Amino acid sequence: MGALKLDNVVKTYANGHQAMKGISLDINEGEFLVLVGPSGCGKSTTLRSIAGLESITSGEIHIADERVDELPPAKRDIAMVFQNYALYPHMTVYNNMAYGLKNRGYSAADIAEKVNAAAKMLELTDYLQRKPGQLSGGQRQRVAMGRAMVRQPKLFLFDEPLSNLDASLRLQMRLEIKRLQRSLGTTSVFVTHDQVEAMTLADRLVIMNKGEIEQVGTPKEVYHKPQTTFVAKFLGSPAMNLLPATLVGKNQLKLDDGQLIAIPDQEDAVQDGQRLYLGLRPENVSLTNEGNGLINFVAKVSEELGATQLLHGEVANTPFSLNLSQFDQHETEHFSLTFDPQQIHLFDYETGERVNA
Amino acid sequence: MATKRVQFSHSPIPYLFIVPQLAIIAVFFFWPALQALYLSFMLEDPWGLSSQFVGFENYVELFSSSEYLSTFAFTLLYSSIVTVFSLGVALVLAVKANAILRGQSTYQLLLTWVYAIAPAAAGIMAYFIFNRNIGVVPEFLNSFGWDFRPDTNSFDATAMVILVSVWKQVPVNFVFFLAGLNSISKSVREAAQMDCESDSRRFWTITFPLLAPTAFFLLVINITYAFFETFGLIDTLTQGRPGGSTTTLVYKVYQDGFIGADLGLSSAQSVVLMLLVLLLTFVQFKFIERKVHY
Amino acid sequence: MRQEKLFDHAILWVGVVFLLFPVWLLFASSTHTTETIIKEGLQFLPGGEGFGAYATALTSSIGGTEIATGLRMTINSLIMGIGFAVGKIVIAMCAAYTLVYFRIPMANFLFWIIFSTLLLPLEVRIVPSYEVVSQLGLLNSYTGLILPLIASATATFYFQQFFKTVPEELLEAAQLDNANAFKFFIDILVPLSKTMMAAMFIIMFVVGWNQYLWPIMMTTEEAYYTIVMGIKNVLSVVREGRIPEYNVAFAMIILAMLPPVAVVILFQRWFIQGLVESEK
Repeated sequence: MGALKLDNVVKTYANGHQAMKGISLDINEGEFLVLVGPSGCGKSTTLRSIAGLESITSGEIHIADERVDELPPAKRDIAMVFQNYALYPHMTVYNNMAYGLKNRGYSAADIAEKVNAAAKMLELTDYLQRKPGQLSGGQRQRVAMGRAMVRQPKLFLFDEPLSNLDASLRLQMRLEIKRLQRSLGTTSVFVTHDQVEAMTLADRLVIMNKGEIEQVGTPKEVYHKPQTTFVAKFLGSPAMNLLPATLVGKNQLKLDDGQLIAIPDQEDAVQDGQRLYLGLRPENVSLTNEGNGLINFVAKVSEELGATQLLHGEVANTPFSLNLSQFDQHETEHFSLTFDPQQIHLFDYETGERVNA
Repeated sequence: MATKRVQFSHSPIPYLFIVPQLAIIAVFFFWPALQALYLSFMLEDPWGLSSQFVGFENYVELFSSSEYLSTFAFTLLYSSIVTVFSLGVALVLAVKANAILRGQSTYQLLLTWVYAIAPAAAGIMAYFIFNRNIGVVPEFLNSFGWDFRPDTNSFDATAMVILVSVWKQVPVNFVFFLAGLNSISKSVREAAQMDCESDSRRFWTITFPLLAPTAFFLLVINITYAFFETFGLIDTLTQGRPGGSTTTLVYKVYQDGFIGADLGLSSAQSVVLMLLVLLLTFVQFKFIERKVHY
Repeated sequence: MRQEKLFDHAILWVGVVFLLFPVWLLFASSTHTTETIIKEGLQFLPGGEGFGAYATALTSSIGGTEIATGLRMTINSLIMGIGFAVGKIVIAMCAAYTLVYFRIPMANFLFWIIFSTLLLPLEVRIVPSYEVVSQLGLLNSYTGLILPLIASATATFYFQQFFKTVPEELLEAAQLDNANAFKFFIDILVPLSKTMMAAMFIIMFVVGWNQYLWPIMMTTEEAYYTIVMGIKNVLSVVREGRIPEYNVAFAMIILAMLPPVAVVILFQRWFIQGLVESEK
């Protein structure tokens, strides 16, 4: 039984723009799902469709086995935390949290109990009689959380709730959201464009691009086994290096400047002479001192990060970056690179789909 | 008063730039305003040759005149009815225009152009439309059994003046209400959609309280309009008739001072109006201080 | 859902028709003959006379001598509207510039002096203003028509608010580029204020064109009649018991409404901005 199910949901705007091109998702009870992607990828539209703030063109949405896509937002038993908090500016913190309960006919005593419990959990007890205008950004964020929590809905929706906070507060609230979600056990869908937020919060990640799902998986899966070049480039900083290459035989790649690289034996899915992208994460590549390295690299710029160092340059006239734990300044610009053969990613040149296991 | 941190210094330019404004307000604002204050304490002889100081006599005469008091009462009644109706109609239209997704700017155009019509032109237009010989309104009302006679019946005349004043004022209120509605953040409205299912309840608990500052500000604007800007409308539509029953305070200042040439009495009326405006401004400031900070 | 939307549109259309109806009635009637109007009253549909009444209205006057023709009064109104708008904007920008960008003695005092004019509309001090203008010998002159109306600081207040939002870095950069106070005003501030000036102009033009009380008091010579006050003459014709040429009178009223309405419709965006900003 899924807590939330999207079945081939399509959203086409009046101007013909397709924001969702058949999205299907199945989310488990208590799961923390993160929708991530660049702006315009359809992640917000997906979230707003679940909320009922956007009508969908076709497909079905089910929450706890009830079809909801025709219901108004207030009937879907969901709560949402907005990017700019969307607190009611004319109401006190208490009333902001109580408003949804009042409209659902809870008794005053019930409301007081729920609101006070949430306020205690979020350390807002001292601020209950203040108005949102008198609170700091972090406190407003908490009130928005509290407003969602008191209703004890079936589903939490988060629409980039941390992007208005400064860096240190963002980290703190990130941890707090995770902690609250764990202790409440409420199924959550979280939208963000920030990959660190996505990786750290998610039980499962959904990477979206141009109205379609590129990949669904745990943070580990999507990072270590990206299924498309889009996912490969989207996650990780600096991004994965992608080198155009041609397969020679079963275990050699020929780069565009003619150098040959040995790779593990490929299965029959890939054929001799096929055009590919060779994907190498910057941290999976290292410099070797011997001149018999596997890849010729020309260094251009280095950046000091403290714990590690970034080295930017070119391989076969394609930009290439390394993340090195140790690097001593050399006289030369020419290096040889070596890599862990288990950590390579091969994608079809045309479709961008992953071809190796 | 806030100024820029960075400024020019040692330049004659600031004085050159501000002198025209100061000169104009000195000659055409402070001089007449002080003159009004001065004249309100003076009594001129009928030929305008000499005048003498009479203290508050003009004011006493003013407030013991039943004519002035009824004008006062009419102005208050008229301005409150005009305010309530033009705000109400404009609010309904603005809420509806805000609710629709497409065509909002077209409606805005079609509902605001009347702002540009002079009150005097509106008054003349209304004069013909309400005219018993050629107008269409009396005929229409007659068919309901209302014998509409604005030139002799003061109720009819008042209703007519109010209707035309509302017609002229709806666009301004509409513009501000729509701007106010548009300034309510979209996500606040969406949050309310999740918290409250009923449209009308959502309007009264979220939208309306958030519009309150706009509404209050418009209240002041509308009272000011009904007091001062309707002069042209009244002068062309009824000239205060029948029997002074549609005469507003400003219209009376003009009648007594310009046509009747009783400077002392007219000046005293001007001063009373000034005090009313100051009172209104004071209330406005008090309210802004107290309420508008969210 | 669908029905609710239709209902919304229906209400809006009731509003649109309510506003449009009287003007349409007058316009439609202006294209009929006077005889038709006398016999059948105001007309809902345009008649066969076309715009003949408008040509007559432009070349003749109602109730007066032939000096105050529709054309002459329209020109006077244009002078009044444009003169008022331009004068007000220029004076306001200059004063606001001084208030925001210079440290001058008594700045606070000047600020309050200027902004106290916001308190009292002209209508309140109309009779003494008339006395002042007549003492200065400015009756029956464009100067006398326009200047007293400029003596309120609405536009000054508005430009002062706007100048305060201009980033300070601009002035610093200009100073590094060796621009003096005058150059900064002309080369930087004025171009930056273009939209604001346009918005203000639209509003002020409409306000200036629509002036009624002041021109009535100020002008005794028909050569200075503006069209908004001039159309009033048709009422004296009616009140004397004569029957006016209705179609020409209606054409004149429409002519008096046309320029400001056209400006508001054509420059709707600026108009809305100017209205919202200037009343604040």
